[in-house]
Amino acid sequence: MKPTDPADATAHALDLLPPTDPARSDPALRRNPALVAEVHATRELAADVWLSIAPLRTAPPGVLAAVMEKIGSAAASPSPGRRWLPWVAASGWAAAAAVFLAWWVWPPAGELPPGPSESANSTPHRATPAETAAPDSGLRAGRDSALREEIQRLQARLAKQRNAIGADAATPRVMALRSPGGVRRSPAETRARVNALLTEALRSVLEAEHLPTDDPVALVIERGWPIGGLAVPDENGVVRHRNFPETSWRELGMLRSESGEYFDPANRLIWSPDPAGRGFLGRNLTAADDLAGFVAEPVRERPTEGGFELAAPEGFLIEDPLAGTTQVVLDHLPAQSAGTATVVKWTAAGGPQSASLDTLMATNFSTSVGTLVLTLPNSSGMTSFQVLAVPTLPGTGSAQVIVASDP
Amino acid sequence: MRNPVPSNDPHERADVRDGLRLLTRIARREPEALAELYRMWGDRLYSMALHWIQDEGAAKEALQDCLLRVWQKAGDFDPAKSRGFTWCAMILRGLCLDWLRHRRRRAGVWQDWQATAALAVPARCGVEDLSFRETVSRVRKALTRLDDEESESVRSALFDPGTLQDHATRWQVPLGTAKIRVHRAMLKLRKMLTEGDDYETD
Repeated sequence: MKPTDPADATAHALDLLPPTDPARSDPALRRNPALVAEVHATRELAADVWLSIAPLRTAPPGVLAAVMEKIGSAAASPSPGRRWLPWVAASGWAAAAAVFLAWWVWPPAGELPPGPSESANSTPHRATPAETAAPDSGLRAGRDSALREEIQRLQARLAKQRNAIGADAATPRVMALRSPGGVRRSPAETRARVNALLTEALRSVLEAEHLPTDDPVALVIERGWPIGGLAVPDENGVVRHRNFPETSWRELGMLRSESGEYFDPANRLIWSPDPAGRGFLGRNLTAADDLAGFVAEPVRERPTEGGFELAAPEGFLIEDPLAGTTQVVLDHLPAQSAGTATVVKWTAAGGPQSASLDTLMATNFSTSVGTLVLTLPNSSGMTSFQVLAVPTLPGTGSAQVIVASDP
Repeated sequence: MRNPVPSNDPHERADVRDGLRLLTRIARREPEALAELYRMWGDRLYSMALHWIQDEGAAKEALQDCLLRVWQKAGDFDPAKSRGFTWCAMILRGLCLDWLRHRRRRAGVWQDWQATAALAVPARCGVEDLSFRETVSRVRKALTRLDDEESESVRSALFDPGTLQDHATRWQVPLGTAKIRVHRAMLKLRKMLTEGDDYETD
């Protein structure tokens, strides 16, 4: 073996030899075991470097379908009925909520829509201080009257839409997502749970829409705790949390003052009880605020009596085959802890895709009401879906499944 | 990457990198195996193509062509010569180099016709490459220990569409020197990956 042979082997492995280089036709590069090993090792190293320094991107949709078409095979299709439940809904989460409310849940005239504790909800739900100090019935009746009008309006719009496109073809499906070890729901339970979530979401949004014009509330959070990135739109704006997790402030990383206010460092919000008794109001931290009175306490055992119970995360996918979209309803997502990112991975007819939840919220976010509702474009034929908490630093642990579809 | 939760199936775990099980099935003309391979490596292969050629449409096309080649050539895959991922990556690289060289010919400019991919460790993004995490971590650490000349040698060898003669001309050294420079840089990188923290520079 010549001294230059290993260098030629490296160049040969990477297809770097000039066309006229004699080494191109050197049989030793293909026969000498040491040089052959050099070629193989160089290629393995090259692949490692390539994959390590190319920023990870999601492959564009349609690649798999195009390849399958060229090889004369249909793209991997979902197994109808295996994970999906037939459902009646419509594109657009609000319209879907309207359908559920109007056709499945909405009670006869004169009755109130079911709240979380009234609906079939297998998730443990304890009364919070905010709930026990419920808003007065007059306020609620007024809100529900407005809700009813809004739902009727949406129902009429939906009926028109369904007539135009054909009801049979426009029948979306629902897939349940659950946390590891979470309860597997029956179809009836799934329907009831989706009804409850969408009712709450719609109620919150409509409440925000029907607030008096001088009410500074920009967003209403029904329950749960928003993941990082919650921003109050303007300096004087506020956010209302109707079921503020007062007894879980330590777990959520907040600080408390003696006067009963809470400071949320993650979102730089100060939360105070709403004088009208409708939960807590959050506002942006300002330079005038003195945080000296806010103290942190170490996390204690989770309360078991009379406290806010951090329920298991769960979610549902509502697929609209006609629009080629899927609405994702996520509930009780845990707060994003330091050093992790929340990543969504799914496989649809166009192939697997993944994105950070932050990215999806920035581009496809419908509403933040504790229950997150996202719309995934080009997502028909969904076969699997996962939300993961992924460490952002290598070697700091493995990804944890928050919720996932059943395999 | 496509299946970020570690599987309990030891065959599946092993296949994340070597791809033998899937490539064997693809060689038997099982389309679903090709779909599985895409789910496992598609994002990573696309990312590599995009990094090479800096054109989303061309990268998508290269990935499609790569998958078609895998479908056609899976019977030629020899696990004794390389891991499955490496085999696919080399196919993809060949396609990307063809594209780059074609563009270079059309541009009529032989040198510095456009910036080629950098060797820099990328900033973290929201998506984690879990299946390759350990490899990515080791390689990135090793890359930071190369000096400037070694980094440039590795970058040119792995990302520049030119031949070693082009690199030698740019570096103003004889072809033989360029060969040795690339070989030594790659060898050093390989040793660092093999020896890890025990590697000591001379």
